[in-house]
Amino acid sequence: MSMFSKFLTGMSFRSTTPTFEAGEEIEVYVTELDEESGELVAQVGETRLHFENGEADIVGCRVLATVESFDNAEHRGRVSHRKTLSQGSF
Amino acid sequence: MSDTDSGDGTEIEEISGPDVEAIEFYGGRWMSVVPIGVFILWAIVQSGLFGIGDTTGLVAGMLVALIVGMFFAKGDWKNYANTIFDGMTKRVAATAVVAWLWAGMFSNTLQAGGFVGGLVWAANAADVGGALFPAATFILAALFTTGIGTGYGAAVAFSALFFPAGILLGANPVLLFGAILSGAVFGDNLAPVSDTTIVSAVTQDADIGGVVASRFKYAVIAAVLALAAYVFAGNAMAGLDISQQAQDLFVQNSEPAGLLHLISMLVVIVTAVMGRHIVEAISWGLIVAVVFNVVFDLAPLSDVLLFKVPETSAAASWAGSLPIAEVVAAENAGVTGSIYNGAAGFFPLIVLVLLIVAGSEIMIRGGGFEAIQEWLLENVATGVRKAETTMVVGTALVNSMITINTAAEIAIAPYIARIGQRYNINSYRRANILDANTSALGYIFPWGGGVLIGFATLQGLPGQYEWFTSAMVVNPVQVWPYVFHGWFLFGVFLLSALTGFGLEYTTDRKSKDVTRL
Repeated sequence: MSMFSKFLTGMSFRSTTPTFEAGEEIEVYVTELDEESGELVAQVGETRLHFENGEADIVGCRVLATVESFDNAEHRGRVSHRKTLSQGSF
Repeated sequence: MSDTDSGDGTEIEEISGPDVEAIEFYGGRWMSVVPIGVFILWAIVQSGLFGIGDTTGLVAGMLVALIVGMFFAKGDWKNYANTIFDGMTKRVAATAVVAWLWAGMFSNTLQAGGFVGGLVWAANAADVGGALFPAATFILAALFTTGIGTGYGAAVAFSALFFPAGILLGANPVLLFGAILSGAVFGDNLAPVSDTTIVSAVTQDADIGGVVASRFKYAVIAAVLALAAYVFAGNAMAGLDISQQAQDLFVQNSEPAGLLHLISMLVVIVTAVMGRHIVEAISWGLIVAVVFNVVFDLAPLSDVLLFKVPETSAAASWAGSLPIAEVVAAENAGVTGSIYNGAAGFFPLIVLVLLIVAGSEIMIRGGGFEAIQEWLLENVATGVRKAETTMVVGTALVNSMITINTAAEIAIAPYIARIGQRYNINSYRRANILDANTSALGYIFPWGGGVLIGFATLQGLPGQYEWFTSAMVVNPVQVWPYVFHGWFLFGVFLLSALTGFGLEYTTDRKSKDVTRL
């Protein structure tokens, strides 16, 4: 990212439901263990990404994940956990 | 866990540290809030009710609060005591401490080099009249604070110099004081060497250079609106008619070469935004500032660092010939200069942040932090827009109660982090929400630390100038509607939270941007 673009990034009105592409590599904080599905979930805005793998102790951690599939209409996706990067702040 | 290896051999267990022991409290997990709760109460009484802006007083409050909290802990108090140690050694506290020390040295060196004198010269050269003087003061105070990083310092320097000069030119006193405080808000919010900027970045896992660049858009929008408001109000609000000349006051304090420190300031900003470590960025700025001071005769080397060698010392015979030493009576021995004073100025705040982080750690291990967080997420921050609005209003509320804004920022920072991470709000955005509202509110309300420091300076003016009467001193209760940049900055963030302007998610920027300071 150039120095100039660092000043301009984010000059837009962002949706509450961001979309993703299959194959995309993303970094997210793991939000919770979904009680209904028993799967880990990362909530990005109002978009929910369900993990196909990973264990409960990474809730709150920042992880590297790959988007396996994404439903634009439902704002739901499935991701696979690749690597745990760090714990969340505090 | 399928894969916890970070690729360089770092396991998540190493990142998180050893397993921690929970603390149980009489009365349940909510009672772990007692240390932080007592401290907040102390801060409200000390700064809000009594109007005492003494950071060391808050240190005493936090110490008392930690002792009071211990009486509610069940079982062996050793666990409680160890938690204080664990909290104080957290990286977030250490990072802020290091950045503050560097920022303090830089800030004091710029002031020693006549930075404010350069801005006085610029104001004189611009030759603006009373109507436009508040707008000009806002711009210059904003520049000054962006350079030195402390809005409190700007409130003092500008209240002492620009305020009487503006009165003589016919500017409205209330509007002028509001413009000074607005400039302090701007710099406190944007400067990479600002204590609040540093806290906002390190508590949200963001690098300081990236934080400064990402908040530029909000700051500029609010500043343009504030500038227009000062131009309009300056023409609409009458000043006082005093038959004295402002010129003399300007000439006495004018130092055109002081403007060279705009370059020192830019060195820090550009180096930090380019991605260099903040310690490196400020070090380069400090070196440039010292060179300018010496080469352009802005301040001698002894203003940067001076050893006051006692005459009883064995080195007294030759130490006096050094440019950074002088021989003094034994009782006056010591070290001084901008490097010394700049770092020492942060000592009370450093101790305070260590103790507040310790109190937060007790609240985390006692379950109180989680209880508050659960309540907020279930009842208030139930969507990303509501979460951001909660972050904006929550930060503003805490800052309106704890008027030493850095202390308020440290207290609310963990909630901004947790609520923001719940919705994967980008660390830059979280840091920006945290700092903008901390900076703004600290200079608006009559009991705010920045307002009180400026007011104290104004109270000294009748003793300095024969023509300056006590009726010209602006009371803090008069000025709050006129701190335009503070109000606009708060408004920009409230609208941003409600509309999604500037919102970024953690998925929008790769971690390489946010993993270093």
